[in-house]
Amino acid sequence: MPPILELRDVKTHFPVHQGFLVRRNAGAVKAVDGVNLALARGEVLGLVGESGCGKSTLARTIMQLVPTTGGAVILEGKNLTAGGADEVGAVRRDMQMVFQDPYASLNPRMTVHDTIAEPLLVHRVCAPAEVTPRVAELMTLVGLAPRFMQKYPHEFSGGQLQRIAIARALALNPKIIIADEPVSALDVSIQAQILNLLSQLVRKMNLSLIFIAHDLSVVKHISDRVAVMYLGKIVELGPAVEVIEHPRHPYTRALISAIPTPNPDVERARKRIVLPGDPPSPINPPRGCAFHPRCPHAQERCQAAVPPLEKLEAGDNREVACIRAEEIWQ
Amino acid sequence: MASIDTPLSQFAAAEPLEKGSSLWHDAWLRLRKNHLALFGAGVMLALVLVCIGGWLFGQPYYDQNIYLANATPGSIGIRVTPDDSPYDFATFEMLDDEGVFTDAPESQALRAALLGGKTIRIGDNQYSRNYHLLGTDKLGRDLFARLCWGGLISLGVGLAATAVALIIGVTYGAIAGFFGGKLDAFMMRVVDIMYSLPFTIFVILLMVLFGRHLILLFAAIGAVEWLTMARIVRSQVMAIKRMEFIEAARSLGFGRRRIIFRHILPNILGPVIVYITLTIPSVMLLEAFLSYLGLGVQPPISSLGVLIKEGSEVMEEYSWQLMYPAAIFSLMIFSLNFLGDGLRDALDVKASKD
Repeated sequence: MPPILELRDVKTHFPVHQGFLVRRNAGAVKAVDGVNLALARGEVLGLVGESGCGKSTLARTIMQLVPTTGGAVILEGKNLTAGGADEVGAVRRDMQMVFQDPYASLNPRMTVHDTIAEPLLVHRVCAPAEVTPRVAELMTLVGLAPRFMQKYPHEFSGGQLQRIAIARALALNPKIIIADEPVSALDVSIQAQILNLLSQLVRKMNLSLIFIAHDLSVVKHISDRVAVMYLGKIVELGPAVEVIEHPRHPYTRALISAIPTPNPDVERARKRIVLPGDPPSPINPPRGCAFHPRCPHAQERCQAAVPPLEKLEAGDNREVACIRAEEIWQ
Repeated sequence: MASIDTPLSQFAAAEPLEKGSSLWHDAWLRLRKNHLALFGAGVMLALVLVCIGGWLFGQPYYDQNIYLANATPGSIGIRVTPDDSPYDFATFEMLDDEGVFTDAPESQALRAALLGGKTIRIGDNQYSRNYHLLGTDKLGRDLFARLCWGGLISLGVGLAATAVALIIGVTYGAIAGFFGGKLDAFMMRVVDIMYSLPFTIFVILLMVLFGRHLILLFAAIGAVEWLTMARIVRSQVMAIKRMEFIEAARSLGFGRRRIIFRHILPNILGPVIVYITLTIPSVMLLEAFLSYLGLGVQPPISSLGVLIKEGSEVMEEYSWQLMYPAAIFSLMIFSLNFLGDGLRDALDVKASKD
């Protein structure tokens, strides 16, 4: 089955200007730098990485909210980066986004009803008379009572707001939902509710979901596959359980070693791999493997070339971008 | 968008809808607790009503009576209709050189009749009592009528110039803030240059080039006041357009127009309204300043600025001619400022619950 969404060597660079009177280009922030990815229908892909690694930029690139520097975003065979604004607008309805901060992602001057009804009316999804019943239906779908539809965002809790945001994203019957850290602004008790809601909806409506998080335990709970990002590139990709339980890339190992365990005995035995230094600047990424300055397994040859994301052996369902992966993993 | 509101009734039957409280409603609740702001609004409303009443039912503000120039408050004059023959021969005989009734019995009888509120007809002319509550100015024009008219003119200049500033400033600032980049840099440098022009010279130039005209006064003041409005709107638009709900609107495929008018502008209305209420008094001050220099509204039209200027010329002899317009002017400015401050507190996002 062909993938519903495919990314081919996608690059998103933001130019950096310097100078007071005469502005000159002083390089670019390579927020997303050559990402290849395929998303199957009904699949949940977890995207993890530390802050600033380009997860959110990748999400906005897929949504075409930021201009793409290079590569192609292909949705059901149509290249979004090549099409005009109208075409993008029409195709983009098949993808919708849920944002990180539910307090900021809803217009504070609009009622819940107007917020959810607006996409229905603008895109003429249903007749004006059917809009309100549809809004009520969507609210019920995300677990909100329709009697709250005349209320304003500031009258809801964070979890309820995120449910409204999900209902709005579902209004246009999208095929893909991109959730950019949808639970990191919420209380832990609410996080589980929203995660369960998302995974239920994905199953019920056969949606594909790209779930962005910096917390691997959250991702493991919901994803089929996991992609680990470091400095604009995917460094490891594979089935969620396998990647998290048997990480192959040294960066993934460090990330996973940072997850605390609820069992105190296990927690005491947990050995954390502490990475030295800060993530390098995406303006001047290190030569070769971007991770080598912080990698405990780095060697001279890691600086020679950017390691490609590839399978260790043919027929493997996992890919990793590390030339020493095989040695370390053995 | 009326269509999305209508079918709600279907649900009201099944399950009662809970009424939401919009941010505007919350702001109103906060404003209602601010007694100073309410007092300002009340005083302003009362002043406007008095001015309109005086204008509709009082004496004409341009009626001169040279015999009753600089009269003290509470003076009674004679009003003669038709206007073009203020005093005919018959009356002149009954009045002395200064327009005061003589000791002659006819003159005293006429005076008594007029004071009693009677309207007397001699020949083609009609004589009636003219009560000057606040006295008269140097041309014998009723100060109360001129105050009412002047108050309305001042307020009208304030409102009209603010409206000009609002329309230009909001459009300009929204365009600069929304599109950003080089366009924004260029547009805001234009504003900086306009800011640096000396206002008085600018107005004098306008007046010299195009002649003195009330419309020109609006234009001149509006041309200066929109600069600040443009800056405020631009900064607000820049802050709002980076918020996630704008990104959400873009990812829902909404057009630019809808994003600007439905999502950005309603969210910057608070600071704009506050700035409007604070601009009206500052425009009134500007108008008074220009009128004081003789560049403002032209006689016989009055404005509070004109009245203060005229009053200040004779303040040593007839101090009330300065005191009344100055008091009304201060009262208006204070009220509007209190109201504006109250609105700012009420609409302040930081004070609102999250």
